[in-house]
Amino acid sequence: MEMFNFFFFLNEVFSGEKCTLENLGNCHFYGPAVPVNAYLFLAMILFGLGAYGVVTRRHLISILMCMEIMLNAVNLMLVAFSRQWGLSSMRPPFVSTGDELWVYVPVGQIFVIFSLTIAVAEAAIGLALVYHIYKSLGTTQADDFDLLKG
Amino acid sequence: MNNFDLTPYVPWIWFSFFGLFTLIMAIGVVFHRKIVYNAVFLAMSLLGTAALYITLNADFLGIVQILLYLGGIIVLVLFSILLTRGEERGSEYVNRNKQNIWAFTSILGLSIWIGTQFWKVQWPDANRNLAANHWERYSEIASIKTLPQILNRTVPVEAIGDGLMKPYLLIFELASIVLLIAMVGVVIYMKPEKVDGDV
Repeated sequence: MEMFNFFFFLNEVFSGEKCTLENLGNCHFYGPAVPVNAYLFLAMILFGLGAYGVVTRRHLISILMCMEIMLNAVNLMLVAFSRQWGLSSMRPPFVSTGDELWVYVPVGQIFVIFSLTIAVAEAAIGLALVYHIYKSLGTTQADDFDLLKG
Repeated sequence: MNNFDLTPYVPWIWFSFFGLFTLIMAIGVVFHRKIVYNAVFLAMSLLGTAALYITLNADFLGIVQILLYLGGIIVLVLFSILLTRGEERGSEYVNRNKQNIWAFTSILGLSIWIGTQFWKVQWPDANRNLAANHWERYSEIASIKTLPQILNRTVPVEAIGDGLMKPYLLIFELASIVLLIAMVGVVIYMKPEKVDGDV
């Protein structure tokens, strides 16, 4: 895992300080970490942008791409909460009692993995639907689908 | 200039850079009219999100994000664009109901308002308290030996694997079944219909 961690490599190169349990608040890679509120603010703006795109865009693939932006905003929020609250989930559900009860579980990141799975399935099904609709109706504009209009 | 220390602001610099990058590319996805450009903007936005994951100590998720989205979904989207090949109509057709104005005021205004409300919340620093409490009591357990590593550095992949295989095993299997059903469904759905006379 150290090979991926170029931020902390840079931290040790530039500041030269090791992170211990005593300076927890200051040891996220150069100084005090960015508060989780900043990430939540950014994720809310991204979610709003994606929802705006879903409402206003007319091309089906554009709507799917805006949905991807919304999913990404939610994933970002989950990861931010996982950094803030990761250790508070010391008691995982669905396991028998014992020593394994106190294991560290980064719940937010695990949920992000599930969310990625669902996003991949959604993209595959959505794009297959788009292609099928294009083959049968000859258009990909959402306003042209008025088969059920009275 | 000599005594100015940039070190406390470096996380903010990383966050601002990658956050603004992600935001500008998402704006490009939403507002640009050409759909191939939209896909490229979406790829860049997902790349910025992966960088934000890395700044949140989630390196593994950043790598997974790059592999899955940039390697899989963007390719799917580009293939679909090239297979369907229809450009979006002009704005005079889309905006006939003043739809974008109402969408802007409702959705984007609401989300910006909620986001500003997030700034007022004082989250308790749960990680620090729990680390101080639990490090003494549970440090003999093997899976918690990596606690300083978890807090300071990245979340180890072993913790994610433990979580997937021990407490959330049922959801993991259900997600895999959902993925399998989706794949089989797509294959059945996209199979060309059988014409009479075909074998």
